[in-house]
Amino acid sequence: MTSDPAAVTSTAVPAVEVRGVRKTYGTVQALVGVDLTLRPGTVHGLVGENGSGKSTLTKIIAGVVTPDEGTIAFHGEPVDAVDPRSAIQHGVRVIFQDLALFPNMTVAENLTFEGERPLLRPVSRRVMRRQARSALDTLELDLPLDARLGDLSTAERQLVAIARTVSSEARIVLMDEPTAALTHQEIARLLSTVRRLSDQGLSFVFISHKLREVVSIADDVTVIRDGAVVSSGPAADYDQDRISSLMTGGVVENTHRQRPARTGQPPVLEVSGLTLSSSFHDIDLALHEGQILGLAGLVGSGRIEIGLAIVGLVRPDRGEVRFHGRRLTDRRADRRLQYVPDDRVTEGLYMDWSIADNVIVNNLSDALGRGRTLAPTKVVEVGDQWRERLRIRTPSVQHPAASLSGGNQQRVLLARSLAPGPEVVVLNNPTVGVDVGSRADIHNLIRDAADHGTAILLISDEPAELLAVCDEIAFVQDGRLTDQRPCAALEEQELIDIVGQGGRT
Amino acid sequence: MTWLRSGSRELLLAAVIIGLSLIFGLLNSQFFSVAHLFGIGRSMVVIGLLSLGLLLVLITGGIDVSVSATAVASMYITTVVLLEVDFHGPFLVGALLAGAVGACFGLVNAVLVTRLRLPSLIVTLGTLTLFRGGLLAFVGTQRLRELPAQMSEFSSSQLFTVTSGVRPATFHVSVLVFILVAVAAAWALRSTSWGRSMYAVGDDDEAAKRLGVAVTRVRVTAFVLAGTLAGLAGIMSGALNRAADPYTIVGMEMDALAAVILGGAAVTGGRGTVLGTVLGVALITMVGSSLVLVGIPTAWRQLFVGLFLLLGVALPALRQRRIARARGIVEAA
Repeated sequence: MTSDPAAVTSTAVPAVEVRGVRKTYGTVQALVGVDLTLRPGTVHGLVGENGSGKSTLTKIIAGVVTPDEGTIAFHGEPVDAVDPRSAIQHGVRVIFQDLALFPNMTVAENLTFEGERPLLRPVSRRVMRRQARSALDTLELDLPLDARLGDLSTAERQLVAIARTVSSEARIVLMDEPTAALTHQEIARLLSTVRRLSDQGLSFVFISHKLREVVSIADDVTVIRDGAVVSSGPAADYDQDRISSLMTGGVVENTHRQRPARTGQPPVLEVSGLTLSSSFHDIDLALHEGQILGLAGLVGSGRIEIGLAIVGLVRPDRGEVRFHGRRLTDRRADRRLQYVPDDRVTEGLYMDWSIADNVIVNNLSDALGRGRTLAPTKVVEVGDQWRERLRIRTPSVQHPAASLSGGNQQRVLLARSLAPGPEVVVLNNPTVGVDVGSRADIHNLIRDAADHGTAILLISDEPAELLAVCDEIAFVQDGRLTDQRPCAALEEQELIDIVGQGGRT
Repeated sequence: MTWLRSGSRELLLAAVIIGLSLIFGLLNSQFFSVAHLFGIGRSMVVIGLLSLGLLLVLITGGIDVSVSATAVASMYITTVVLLEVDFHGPFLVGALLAGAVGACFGLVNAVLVTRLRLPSLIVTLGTLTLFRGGLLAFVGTQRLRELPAQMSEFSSSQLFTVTSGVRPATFHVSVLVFILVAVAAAWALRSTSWGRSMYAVGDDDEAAKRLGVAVTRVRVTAFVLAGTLAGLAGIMSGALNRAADPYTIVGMEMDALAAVILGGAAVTGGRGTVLGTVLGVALITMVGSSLVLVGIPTAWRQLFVGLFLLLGVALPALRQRRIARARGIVEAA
């Protein structure tokens, strides 16, 4: 950070050089000709919104995803067709966003697992434990070596994934959102380790939503938007404001929504003393008609479980959820409560079904014809209405959901949840993997639903999203609600700070 | 500590085996005779070799129910070939040949599962019938009583004989073969890169792929080794029974599956140990071969195998449910 970047650039061979990388998934262009130069012994901040292509780029460098076009060189050595083995042999180590750990193995086994070794090489348990211990020591971590990984918390698992990358043979470390589940102290320790290791010659690509982290640690910054690099250069040229405007392409959403007054009205949904001992404790919440309440917290803090408990997909140990003052026998079966999952592919849509079938699945009564049976023409009709209302880009609602881009799939998912005219909708990260344009649209749709009276609970990892959409934000730390504030009085950095306090010590 | 926890299934099995032994022994003192115990050991060989092969496939997250068909086909083909060429060499050659034939059958499974990306249960259900059907259609349906010289000789190769009781108790060489194979498998699974990769592939194949594991190759080795061990099991069965019978071993895949599952292997992959499997085999064999001693008709054997298999899958499922409950996950109605 102190050295003159320009002087180093001219002499040193890049640790990673990516040129003209292109990748298309079906109809979705994930990357459209990306260049990236990682100078040796530096930290390169890679930023972009959800779905901009950061993770795809990481996976391409790691050899996990094969690009359609483009070249990659490690330390000046071009590698055609990078696969995980060749990347690992060039010293590339990765913290994947989904961690890619083995739940049935112990911490020590996870830390020392090497997949690219010759199959008959002996593995010594003693050496394995020693290596695992030293990896944890490098990061000043204290985790039980013999614990089964699947029994650890989200944050602990993330720390294991981080520790796995700092083996002796690592030369290039790619970190995709390494801090999503970590507290301020843990993040500070991680950043200082990254700094120390980069001074020893390791090169890092550092991806994070938290721009302050990026600005504080990076030597260089690259901003990507919708699969293309929009800006790249020494970190000194960037501050948080410039990065966020580059990320969004100047699309500024009208933040701090003006909520219609709800004086003295009883809440639509009231949660009291809700407790699930393994996840959250004594949650009290009230959702009013037309209100958008955000739920902010670290990954693993319990915020998603709270949402699931409210719609009845998770059974709490104690406490109750009242809907218009009454307890419902089965909240799952009640169409007035809807949940929109973050994983469209496995939890959300029936990918092989048509778009129209997906839209009506929660609301068959709208598509009944004579004889009270489903009428195919009605199904298409209803599908078309929602296509128009949510501006789903497709030639026909009879095409399968799988043919849509991420942003449009998300709209179908929203249409499905909104079709029955619900009074409460719980949304879990509704814009994951969605392009910038669709994102603003989806935010408008959420606001629009609230304007029509729906009460909305929005769980999101994106501070900007919470601020743009919500009226108020409730904070979850280690399973407890710690604070609730109106958005109008919150700045993004302040929000990040509150979330990052975590609850763990 | 962790050894205790991860080994809890092994401890449980050992306790059940000891408990049942005491009951059997109380009901009939013949149970603890050296001859009966050696007999149990001998009965463990064939199902034990099948189970070890099956364990390898289960660890990688697959399943192979064709092992019994592979075993009988390898045994019969090997016997026919050896008789045809009028072979008089050592039994080892016959064993190696049977293993090689089994490996070929294993390779067929491996190719179908990995190349066509088909679910291994369906593939091996298919090949279970195919291998047996092919044997009966193209090779023969006759029970061969005249075995190659060395094979019949092996049937009476005792490692040592104990003459304490009424009749001499003999410890058959094949038991040693099974022990050696089990020790080798335990070592390979625990202490080689290959073994670790097997568990990794079964635990999370995408993660394994990203860490550079040649996932397909690992899966192929599991099926081929399962075939090889089945071939070995087949030839042992032929030698021990002093006959090559194309209708033998049928149905034993269920006994093997019960033993492996009871031994703590997960049908979802990534879990299972050789020790657990051997104990599972011991329990099933012990019960099967001791029913007569305590006056229960042998026909009940199947009943117990079925119960063991269900028990083996129910135990971890109940544990999972408890954990899921604690996390508040609501089961589908």
